[in-house]
Amino acid sequence: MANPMTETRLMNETVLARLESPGMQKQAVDGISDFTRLRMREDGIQRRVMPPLEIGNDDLDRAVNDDRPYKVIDMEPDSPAAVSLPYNSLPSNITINNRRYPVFFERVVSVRFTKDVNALRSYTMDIRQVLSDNAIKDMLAQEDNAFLSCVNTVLVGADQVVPFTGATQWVTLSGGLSRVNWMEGKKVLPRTFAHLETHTVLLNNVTVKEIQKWDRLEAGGDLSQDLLLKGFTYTELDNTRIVVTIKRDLVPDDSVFHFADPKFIGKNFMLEDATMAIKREAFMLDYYAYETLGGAIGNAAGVGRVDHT
Amino acid sequence: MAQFDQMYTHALDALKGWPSPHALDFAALPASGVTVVPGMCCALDSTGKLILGVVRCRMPLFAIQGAGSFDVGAGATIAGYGAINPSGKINCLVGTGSYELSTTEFDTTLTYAPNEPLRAGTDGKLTNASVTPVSFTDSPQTSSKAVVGIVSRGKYTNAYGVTALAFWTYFLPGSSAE
Repeated sequence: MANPMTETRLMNETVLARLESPGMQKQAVDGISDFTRLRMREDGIQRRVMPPLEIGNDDLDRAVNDDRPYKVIDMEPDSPAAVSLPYNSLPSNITINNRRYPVFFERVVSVRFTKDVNALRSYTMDIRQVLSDNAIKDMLAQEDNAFLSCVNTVLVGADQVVPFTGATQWVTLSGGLSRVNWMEGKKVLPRTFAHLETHTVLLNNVTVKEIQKWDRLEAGGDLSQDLLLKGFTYTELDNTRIVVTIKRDLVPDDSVFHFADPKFIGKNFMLEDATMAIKREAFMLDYYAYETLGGAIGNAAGVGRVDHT
Repeated sequence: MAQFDQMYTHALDALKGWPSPHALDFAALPASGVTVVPGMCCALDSTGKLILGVVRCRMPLFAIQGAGSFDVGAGATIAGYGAINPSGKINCLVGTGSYELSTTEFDTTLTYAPNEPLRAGTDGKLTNASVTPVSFTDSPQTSSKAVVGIVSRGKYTNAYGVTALAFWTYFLPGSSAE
């Protein structure tokens, strides 16, 4: 029977040989993305809430005073209500205008890993998996950090009115995450002038345990039994997508983010997907991952947050 | 009709030393209320955010972008809008790096001779006022101001028709507050 350590060492030597090709930058999109989607510890939050759209040079807009990429997005125009009029009356005029917003782009990069190749020879683990996992995971974490920071900024603050909607969309509810409070939280988005429904909720893996506490009366039927026996394995609850994250630093305990359908929130563009740059000069190896993306929340009515204290 | 700024109206060009994967650069957010344009000389405040000018031992940081640059994105404020990207950070070349730079952000009313030391005022612009030593041929720098550069090629009109100042980065901490 083949020795697994020998096989792994042989694989590492093969990978090392490829990495030692002088002066080559490898476009690693296919290999990284397939491998990462299967084996990453956690997929990005933003990519699950607002799936990225690939965008190319032809889709970008141009500006007079800046040659960096950006994209202008139109919002759905609003209009005053119709009125009833007596005969011999004509309607009022309104000039057609519309609200637009920009989506700017930036590059997200991992740290640059460097190593003397001689120091890599002794590894018996699959260094390719470790390389791609760490770098991609770090970039997705930065995407999520930027996304949720933006959401919190748009929501202004706990129990504060969002100027754009005139409603409080970051709500504090006491009494924990009971079924009653779950439904109270679902009222946040429909309360604004946009009347949106929650399409996706985001909570962390500690908060979700509160749902698992729902007894038979609260959960209804055998769901309570299943929650105890099988744990929380659901991707949908109350006709709403559930995203559970381990990133408790971004999604605090007892906080639940509510998101409308992505088309009511904004845009998330991918200009250049995850790429691994690998370089070797003599016996020094260095590599890092990078991507170029741009996103914006164009409609503050599409996001909400409930802190269940 | 108001004149459009062009992308080179306010600029920092690295004549030598950058770009390089080993160059010393540093990215930071601007402090609240501070407007940075490309080419300005900044420093970090006590919270690690960019402020204009260099005094005492604050490390000079030469801004490559400005607040309105599309890869900084700090300029757009629209009701109901939030920019997920970019982060708002401005990348800067650190003053102790080995560069010859050219900036549009300097006092254009003065003349500049090679080897004259430069300081960065609270407006983020370079000047040789109040830093010129007794004799710049072989006397030591006698001013108490922090020095952030040494004039190299001097003041000139660049390829875009904009007046720029070329200098080598050099850092000598000063003892005065301004």
